[in-house]
Amino acid sequence: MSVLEAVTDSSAVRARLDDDRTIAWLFVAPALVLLGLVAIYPFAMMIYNSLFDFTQAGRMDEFVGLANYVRVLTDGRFTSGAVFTVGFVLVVVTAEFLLGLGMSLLIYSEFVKRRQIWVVLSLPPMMLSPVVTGLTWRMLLTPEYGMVNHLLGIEVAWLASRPWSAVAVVVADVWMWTPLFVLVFTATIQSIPAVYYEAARVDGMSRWQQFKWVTLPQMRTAIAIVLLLRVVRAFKVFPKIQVLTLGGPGSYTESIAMVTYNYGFRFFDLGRANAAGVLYWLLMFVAAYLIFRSVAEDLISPGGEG
Amino acid sequence: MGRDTNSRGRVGRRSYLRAVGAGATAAGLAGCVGNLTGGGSGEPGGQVDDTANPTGSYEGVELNFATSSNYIDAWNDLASQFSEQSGIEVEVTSYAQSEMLTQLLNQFRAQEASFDAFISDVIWTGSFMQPGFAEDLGPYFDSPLANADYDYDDHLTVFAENYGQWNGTRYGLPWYGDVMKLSVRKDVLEEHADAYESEHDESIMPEMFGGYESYAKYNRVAQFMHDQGWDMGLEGQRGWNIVYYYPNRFAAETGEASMLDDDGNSRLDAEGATTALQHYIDQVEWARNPLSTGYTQSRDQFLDGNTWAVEQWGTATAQFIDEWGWEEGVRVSLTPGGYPNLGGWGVLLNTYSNQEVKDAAFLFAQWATSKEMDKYAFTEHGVTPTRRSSFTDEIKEEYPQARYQDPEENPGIEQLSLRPRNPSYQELGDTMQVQISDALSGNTGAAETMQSIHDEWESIMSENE
Repeated sequence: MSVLEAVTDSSAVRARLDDDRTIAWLFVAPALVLLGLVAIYPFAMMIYNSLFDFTQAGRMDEFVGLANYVRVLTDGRFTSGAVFTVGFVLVVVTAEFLLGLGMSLLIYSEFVKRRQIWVVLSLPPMMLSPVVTGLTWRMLLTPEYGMVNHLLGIEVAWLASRPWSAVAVVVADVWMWTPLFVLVFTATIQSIPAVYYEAARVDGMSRWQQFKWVTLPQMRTAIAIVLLLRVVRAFKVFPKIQVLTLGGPGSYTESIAMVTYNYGFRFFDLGRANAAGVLYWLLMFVAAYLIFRSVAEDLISPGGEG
Repeated sequence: MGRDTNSRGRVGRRSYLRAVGAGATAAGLAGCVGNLTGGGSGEPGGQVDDTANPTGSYEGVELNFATSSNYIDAWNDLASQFSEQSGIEVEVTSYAQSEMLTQLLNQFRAQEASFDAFISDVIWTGSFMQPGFAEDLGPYFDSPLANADYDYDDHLTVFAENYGQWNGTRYGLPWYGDVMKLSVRKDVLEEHADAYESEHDESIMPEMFGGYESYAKYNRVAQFMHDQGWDMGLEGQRGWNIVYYYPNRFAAETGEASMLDDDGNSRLDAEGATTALQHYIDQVEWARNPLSTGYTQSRDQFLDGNTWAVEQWGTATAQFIDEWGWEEGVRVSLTPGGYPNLGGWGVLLNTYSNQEVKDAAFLFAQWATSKEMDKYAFTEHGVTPTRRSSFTDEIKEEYPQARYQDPEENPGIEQLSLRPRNPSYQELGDTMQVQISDALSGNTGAAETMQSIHDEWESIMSENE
């Protein structure tokens, strides 16, 4: 390369570095690299690994195609775990949504003073780790010395019998996460301009009509976001159940995350664990997609309000 | 006033690029440093200068020892004594017992395990030995590191084989010889002895040390005692406890110590396997909160005086004796039918450590499992002996529970029920605990449950061949 060519190349590089689009890409690059390293690459590897068998020492063995997927889908534990998880997500998110909305409306009703205090008081359960929540409820529900049986004067194996173990897991989760809905919904209700309600009253709307035509539409973005957050999080339920019921009795309260964990970290069957991980991701993707389609599609589409 | 970010001056851009470059370099260097650790080669005992004092050649060597948090006090004590005597520094790291296997195996898989020696539950040994994670100790016993007074054959054979051997190769040294026991409240049974004998024409009391001759007999007593207002202790909570409660019953009914045959085929389709589960299911009715009871709860129930009998491990049994008195308040015997389940631990070495550290780790393991320390660990920390020589008259007088474990006095202690020790144990045990838990909660019957577990075991074993 001649000196002239080198100088020309150097100028070209400088000119490129002065270009706004190049700069924009350079600033975005670390985030993209990070995303690639911690999300895209592992996900691609998960799909790739799911097509192989692994030795007990964790080394890739032979290519098995879709055999791991067949094994996972024909495993009753995985399918019942998937059914339980979907049911769990539907029940807890619905309950948390309704309770959270009800409590928020109550807090912002004319009967309640010092609203901020009530909001703050509702938060502690959400601040606990799922393990602590599980341990707390286990102590309350254990038949030997638990307060619930004592207060109710009954003898129920809350954590080891059907259907009570599922009820226990749902109650613990609703107790923990309803405050998130309260927090988001109270903040949203507070931000709705009072003038909307004044206009509604001038138009002769009842309280129910005001809620239906003013409050709910104004909360739609918040509802979509908090539902999405909770659905994704509820799908991952694991430590709380592990502490409360260990997935029992039998596999009655076993979640899909627990089954996938077992494949990978207890049975050390990495091929099957990767296949389960892919299926698990697909399930969550479908759930997230349905939420967006039903609640928030226009918020993110080009012509949407968001 | 801060710089306008939209000006995008050359300095900011170059600084940014420099920072990115520095980050990449640092990451690369970190990777190089990471690759420098681990490995090592050489022959065991290769650096021993004085064969009369092999430990002296390893003064200043540092090694890391991994233990379950249940035994952290015992191992801290042993490590500190050994460090003082030998000059070899032993750092002890503890893991929660429920997570220890997973954490150790994950490190082994990365070939960068942070520990040089570790204790392994009897049921984990296959997971470490079969893939080659544990060091073959044969060459060490043929090296200058071997202590001529160690006397490997002094360990009870059943402990030596199950805690330390795989396909005839010696990988570990026995450390804690734990076996299940049936503890009964002798004082409580004596109160009801006459009534029971007149009703059933047999003694209510289990023999010392033979225990009840069968689970059928144990169940008769359990039902009778339940009618008198006394529940038995029964671990029926979903968990690993099921996988040591069931084998007690399986072996008693079938006469087979192991639930797998020598070729790895399941024996769970045997008629006795179903009878064993039926006994377990029947007991739910006469037990105290059985579905919510695991190891801790069953121990506490017995200690609190709320149950008259319980199958338990060594540490709990020692507490029972402290609480109720040996042969006054409590009698300790073999589990019904005479096949108590084998628990316990061995000490293994990490094959990925470097040779100098492995040598030092072998010296530590050999010392910690020697005749002297076997007695010491029992008397000071309640770690049940693995050696015949530990059952001296003095020890048995001071700690009468040792009599249960002494093969001279209790020959039944060498006939044990065994859980599968192979690397598939986690999956075999998991399916067993889940399905038996279902049966205990009344959701499935004994026959269909055992057939289902049998089929799954066959499938797991064939997949992992």
